[in-house]
Amino acid sequence: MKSVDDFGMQGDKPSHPELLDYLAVDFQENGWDLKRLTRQIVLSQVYRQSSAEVAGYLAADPSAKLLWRKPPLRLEAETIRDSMLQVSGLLNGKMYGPQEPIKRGADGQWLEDESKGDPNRRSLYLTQSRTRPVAFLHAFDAPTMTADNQTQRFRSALPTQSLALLNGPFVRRVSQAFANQLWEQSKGDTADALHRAFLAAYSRPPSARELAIGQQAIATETDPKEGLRLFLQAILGANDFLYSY
Amino acid sequence: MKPFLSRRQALQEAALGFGGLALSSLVAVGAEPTSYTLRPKRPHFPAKAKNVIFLYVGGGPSTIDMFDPKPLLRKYDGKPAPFEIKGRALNGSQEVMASPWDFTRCGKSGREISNLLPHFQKVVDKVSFVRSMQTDRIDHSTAQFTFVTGRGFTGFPTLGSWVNYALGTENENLPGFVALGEGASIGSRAHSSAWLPPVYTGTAMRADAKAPIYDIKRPDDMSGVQQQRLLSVVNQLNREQKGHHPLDQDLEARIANYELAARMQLEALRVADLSSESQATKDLYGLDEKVSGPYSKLCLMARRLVESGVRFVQIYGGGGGNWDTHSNIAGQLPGLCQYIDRGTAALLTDLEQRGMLKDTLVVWSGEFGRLPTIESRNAAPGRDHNPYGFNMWMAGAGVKQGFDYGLTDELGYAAVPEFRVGHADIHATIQQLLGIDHQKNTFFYEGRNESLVGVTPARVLNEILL
Repeated sequence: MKSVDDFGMQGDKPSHPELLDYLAVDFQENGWDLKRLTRQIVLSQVYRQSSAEVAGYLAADPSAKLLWRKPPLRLEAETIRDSMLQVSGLLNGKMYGPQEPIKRGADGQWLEDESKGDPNRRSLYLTQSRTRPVAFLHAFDAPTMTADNQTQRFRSALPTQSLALLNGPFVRRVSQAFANQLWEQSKGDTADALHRAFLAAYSRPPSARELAIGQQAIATETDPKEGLRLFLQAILGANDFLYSY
Repeated sequence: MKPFLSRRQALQEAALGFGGLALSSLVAVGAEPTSYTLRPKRPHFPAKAKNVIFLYVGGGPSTIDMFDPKPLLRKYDGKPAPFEIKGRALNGSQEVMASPWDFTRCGKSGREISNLLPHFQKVVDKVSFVRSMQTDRIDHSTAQFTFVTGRGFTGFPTLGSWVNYALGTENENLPGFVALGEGASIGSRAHSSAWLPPVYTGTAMRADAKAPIYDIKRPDDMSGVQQQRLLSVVNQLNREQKGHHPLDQDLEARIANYELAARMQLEALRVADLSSESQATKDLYGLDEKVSGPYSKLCLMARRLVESGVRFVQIYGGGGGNWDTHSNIAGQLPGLCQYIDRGTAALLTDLEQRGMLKDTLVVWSGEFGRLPTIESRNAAPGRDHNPYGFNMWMAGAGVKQGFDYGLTDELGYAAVPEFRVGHADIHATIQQLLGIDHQKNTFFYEGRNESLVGVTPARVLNEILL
């Protein structure tokens, strides 16, 4: 169902009505168990497809309505922030408790106040305020709760997002922590650091060309550690990190 | 397929995302875009206005003390009103209060403008007043929502977002809808696109040459060369990725966005840098004036933004609830008027001198006006909210000069019924000037083709148009 906020007469029709029926009946017959339903879906072959392009299929069904592949999707704002904290080793896994404080940054934007409270927790725990949206999350389409019930996130691609990834204080802080961690783990061996970086950020080793891009980027800076930091910022700002495939 | 979906689908198929020009060949594949675009679109009919500067004075400016003198207020000053004045059941009274200020007959149009607005007095011939405004909301936030979104509650797209959705913008190196200043008590919701795609959200900019947009400035500890390298590495990584997904236009849009962001850094900082203006312009606006300078800077920046191709600029003037003169109006209003007066007048003069006023619509309004009676007799007297009758003005592209539409009763309390103008009429009129049919500018949301005006009856105010 594309129109998740409208299952009525004016909504879209389901693309696979029999499948929807099967899942609905199976869900009821198994005690309305949401966890079971989720597992059933994510373990299915159709859900686990890759996003590889097949020109002919793409021409016939560009948005993969018929589920021939998993279309690439930009991650949601919170997931981007949380993933950046995770790969850089900063993520604080503490659960529950009150919201974490936010503050105004040098240029007026709202951001996490990491000097107070428990910093670097999942975005879920950041203060939510209609008039004080955290700029980084807002740039990536996190709602400001102005629309009372936003059923679907927009996934825009805007230059303001690129600005946040280029100049924003959050990405800078994260890439610095990421660099420190890798530098320590690899004991200054840049090939090893790059290998670890790709595994952490993209869940795969680098290709020979990507490794060469990394080596070149590090070598261009007079301080190789700063070179690594810049390269890591690039890794976190590239499509492979921002999209799920 | 349902026929009423066709427009939305047509728009989606026309939408290529930022930097989409390079992608036209990919769209032929028929991919359904996931992003919307700010690329210029054709209006529904020939437009008289290309751009809008909306001077939005939140808090409820007392227009009977500013532009709309009522001789009867003098006659009944300190006495009960000759007819019942219904306000909110708070501290309301029936005791009339004359305007504490004198008015001067100005310009060829001979309209009387309060001496609190000496600069505006000189440019009053350029504007057309709507003197019979009425709104259905009596509290600030609901009335503010009504004035910018057409509905009296949160969660609807604002005027600027609808305009950008319909028309796009001329300069992709800048946002299409810019919100200046922080005077709206409803915060960023005063320029939100709500459920319209975020590309149409107003970008908050400040009259700060160093940081006009969040993250616009390269960090001090990153050199320009380093940033260029960073951009180049991101680009290389993206190209690698693109090799695996050659047909994906969203990825292409993001690649283009980095280049745009880099250009935007220069463009936004250039627009926000007022130092390049001539001395004559600086003097016209009085940028260094203590009281009026900050607002003048916003006005000058609005002109620079429009000049650079930004479609819609909204200025929030007056510092939040300050215009909310419940008490001590005699003490408060002069400073508030001084704050906006010079910048507002300079903006009109400047636009005209540059030949931009013929393409730029300037709109001035608050969310409501104030009552002719005293709110509280104990404190220094003030006036309570008046949604029943107030003034707003428009000037520039396609609008008559020195024209008045409508009137309120002799006390300035309520709009005369046959001339009543509501927010929906203003929204229809602004869209009309931009070449947008307010009934056709719709977006499919929650099972309906929603529009700015919605189901509220709306009439284009042809009387004030050229």
